[in-house]
Amino acid sequence: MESLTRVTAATIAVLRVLVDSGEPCWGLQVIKSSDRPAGSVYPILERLESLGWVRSSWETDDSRSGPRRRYYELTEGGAKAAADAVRDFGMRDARQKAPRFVTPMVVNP
Amino acid sequence: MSGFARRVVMISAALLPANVRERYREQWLGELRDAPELGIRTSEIAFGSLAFASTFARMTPARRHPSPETVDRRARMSVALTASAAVLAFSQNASAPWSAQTGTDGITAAIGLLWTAITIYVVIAPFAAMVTVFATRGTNGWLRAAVVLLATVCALPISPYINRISMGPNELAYLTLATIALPALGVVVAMIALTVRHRSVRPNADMSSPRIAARLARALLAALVVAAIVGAGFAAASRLWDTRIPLRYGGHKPSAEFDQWFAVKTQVEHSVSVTLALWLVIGIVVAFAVALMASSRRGTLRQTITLLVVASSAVVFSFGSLLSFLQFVLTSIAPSFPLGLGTELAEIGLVIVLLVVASGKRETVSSIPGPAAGLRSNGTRAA
Repeated sequence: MESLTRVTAATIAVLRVLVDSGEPCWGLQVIKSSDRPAGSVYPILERLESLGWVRSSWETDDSRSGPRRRYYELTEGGAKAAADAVRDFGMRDARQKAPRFVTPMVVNP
Repeated sequence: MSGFARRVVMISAALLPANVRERYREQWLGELRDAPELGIRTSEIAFGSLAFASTFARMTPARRHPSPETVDRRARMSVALTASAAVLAFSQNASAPWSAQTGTDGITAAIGLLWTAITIYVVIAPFAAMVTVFATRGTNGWLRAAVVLLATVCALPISPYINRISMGPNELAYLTLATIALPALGVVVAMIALTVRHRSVRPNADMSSPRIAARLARALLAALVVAAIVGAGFAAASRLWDTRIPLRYGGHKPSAEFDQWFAVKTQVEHSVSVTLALWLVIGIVVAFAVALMASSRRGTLRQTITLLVVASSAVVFSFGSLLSFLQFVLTSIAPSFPLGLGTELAEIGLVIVLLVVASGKRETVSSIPGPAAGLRSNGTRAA
């Protein structure tokens, strides 16, 4: 598994969906749950898959006719790395959003 | 599922490499079908697939970590782009005397258009080559430096115009140190093309290498051909610039114009001597390099011929440009025309060979599992 060199908010959103679900998700479900456009989600899933974070497979349910769904799930190494990335990104985001304390100015009467 | 969204998805899938096309076509068609169920517009899936297809090439591992063959192919292409741009840049400058003599509006306009196109190529090609070698992981540092050097050489033709500012009316801007850069370009072009081409050929374990006697014979023959070309050009130039040979200007008797060119000839005597000496050194180096490559175990007959053509064209072009120009100013257009034509042919040959040498097959993307089994061409699953 290769390291993720460019981690964006959209990447974290996709990783969070996969981590939280705990089971394989199909592409449309990732788009819906991450609240990100398909044009962002598809490339991210492809990148995660080529780096070894995610693997995908066709659905095995034969009851549905027509094209099959493609399911994505985190690999063993990817699950741990994704959890770490989501946590680190959350902490960094919280630090940036935290209010800055300003030393109160003392005014002499 | 709207017909429009379906068509966009089919187009997007068609844009993908063959080995992943069916997989994404089935995936996107399935998501188009189920999108309304989750409250997602089908147009979003359609345009998402289009965005994915347009950026797919940049995401593949082959793009991020190119194979050695891809690195070699890009290196050859970069050298070919910069070298051909440098050759064209010099030819643009060296062919100026003839263009001024045409006198026909149509020809002058055509030459103007051609020069504009060449100028655009000379600016864009080296830039594209530098971006390529610096953006490709695994490219050797020496090769990057060579491409930058060649790109810099592309700007050298402006130096005669700069030198002309400080010259007298009878001095020729071509016959300066900047002119010596012209044959030097030939060496740079030839050596880099030779080296890159040689490096790109990997030894094949199944291929039996020719016997040493055959390789030495091939090397000797190749060196002799290069030496003959260089020697012929050198002899002609030496004769032209031998002060004991009386000047002739268009077959007419000496005149004020003749005296003017004689003065020029005397002034540039030293520059030409340096150029001729450089010519000899270059000839020896190129002949030795070709012989070395030809004698290599990796070398094939086809490769040797290619190297020979590149080296000879480079030498003939670089010195021929200068020589034909000198013949033009010392005699007249008619006697200089054959050599000028030969120079142009050598130039075209050099550019073509450079670009042909750079050609190579692209590797296929194989990062993703192959097409989905059991899927019909219309996206539905077979029974």
